[in-house]
Amino acid sequence: MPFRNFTTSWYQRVLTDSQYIEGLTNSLIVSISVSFFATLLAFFCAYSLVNSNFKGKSFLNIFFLTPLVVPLILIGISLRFYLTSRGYEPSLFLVAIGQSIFVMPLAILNLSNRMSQIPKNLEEAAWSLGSSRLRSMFEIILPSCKFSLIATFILTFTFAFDEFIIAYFLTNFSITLPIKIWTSLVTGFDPAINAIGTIVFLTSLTLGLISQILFLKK
Amino acid sequence: MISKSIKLQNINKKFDKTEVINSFNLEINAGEFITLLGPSGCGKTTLLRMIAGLEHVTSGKIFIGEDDVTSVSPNKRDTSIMFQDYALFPHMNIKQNIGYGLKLKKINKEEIDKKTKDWLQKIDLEDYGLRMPHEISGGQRQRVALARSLIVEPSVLLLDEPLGALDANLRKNMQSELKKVHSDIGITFVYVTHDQEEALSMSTKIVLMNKGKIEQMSKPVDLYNKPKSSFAAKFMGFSNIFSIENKQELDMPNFFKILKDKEIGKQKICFRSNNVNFRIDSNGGFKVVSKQYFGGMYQVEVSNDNNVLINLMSDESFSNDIQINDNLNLTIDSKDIIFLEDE
Repeated sequence: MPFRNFTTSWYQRVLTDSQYIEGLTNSLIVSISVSFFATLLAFFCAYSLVNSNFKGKSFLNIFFLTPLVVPLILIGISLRFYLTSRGYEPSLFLVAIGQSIFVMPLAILNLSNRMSQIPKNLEEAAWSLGSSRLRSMFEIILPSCKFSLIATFILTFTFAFDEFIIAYFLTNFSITLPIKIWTSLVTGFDPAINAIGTIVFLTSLTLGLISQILFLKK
Repeated sequence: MISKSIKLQNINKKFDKTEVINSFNLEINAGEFITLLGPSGCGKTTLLRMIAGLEHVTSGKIFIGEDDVTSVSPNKRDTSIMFQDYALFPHMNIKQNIGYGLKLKKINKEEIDKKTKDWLQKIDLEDYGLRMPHEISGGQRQRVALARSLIVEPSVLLLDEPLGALDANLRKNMQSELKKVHSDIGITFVYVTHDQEEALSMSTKIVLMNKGKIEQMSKPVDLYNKPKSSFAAKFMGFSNIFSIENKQELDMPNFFKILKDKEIGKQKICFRSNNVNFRIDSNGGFKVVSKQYFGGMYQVEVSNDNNVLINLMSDESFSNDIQINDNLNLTIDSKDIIFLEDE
């Protein structure tokens, strides 16, 4: 769409359009729950992958990463068939489940990368002073992963926020922002799309940068 | 603090299929300062970690005091471990680090505060309580780690090469400090090191280890003066180890003439390089091969027609004039020759 005169009116349109606002709210709710849940779960997964040596560990390591190589459309379709057959209606909740699966490998990779840098004997020193395993995990490991946890949270958030395919398959009526944008594009030309594209792009970029900076911190 | 004995009963340890510790038996009396000494890979650290509960035993039993702790987890054992890199918690300040063990014991805040202050004072770091571990020096970190371990009043303190990362000067200071702490509080110390000097100067007893087994267990003086095997002799700095036919025929005046470079006999003997007397003598039979300065001392290597290489160590003033290819006559007092028990 060609540029003529600079205006901010389309941004105002977007921010007052209740359909866009609804999409944005839905997206925020889903993405935040996804990133919260995935980061938390990934913390425990990464902890056990890094700190224990059990049979089948390398298998589990690969297993956790498989969603990275499975096409999103397969995750979307299979989850839709499976979950609806179990009696779940397509909804934002299912989107959250699907997107959690999608971002889990990323979260586990990030956190286990950080955890493997923490010297093992920090925890051992804590145990020897009388700390239980659970306690040392929260009081020694968790604080050492502080920045990585925040970074992982932000990164998984941006991934979930931008995600379209899984969301498209797993919800019917309440839609997320990417789906709203897509329907607007299909149904006709709306310059507000440019505005919203800019907003989403800049937010993702900023969050992505913040998370990368946090990963570099220890 | 209460001091407890340690008993290791027939300990075996395998990592995958490699045997690290092999039918190991050891009794450590309460209050002893015992050092596990040995080259890297001899299993000394693994043994220490098993006493701490950080490593499972493949078979065997570990007792601390009267209690069988073989399957007790590390946080329930009456031991405290100190690591070479100190392992201070990076996100806690010095005070929190020292007080962490008390916090775990659910002791009230004022008491923790008081005890931490006492310890900060004892280790001379009163004004450092609010600093973070990365803001203090290596020697200070070392003392914080010591305080953190001792504040929980363990019956056994386990030390894994705790002075390994310090420079020579600081090492000497910390050695005497650790020794003083040991005699002050009187608990059992188990100390792991590969440094024989450190072991000699600190311990009441040394366990010399080789390939997962005890090579020799002695008081420092005995280990230094009466090594039982050639491994022990080498480790304690004997650079002259030879074999002779048998013990009875030590033909003293001709001692150096009967030495051969090949291992001809069953009896192994050794002697220290500084116990050999020598003088320049064109008919002496030994030729100087090399000469190296060791600060106040020269190490001189000589050999004879039989290709017997002997290390000599002597005072700078005495060996200054000796040149390479000089001929020397060697003598040694028979009491300085030590008979080894291995074959």
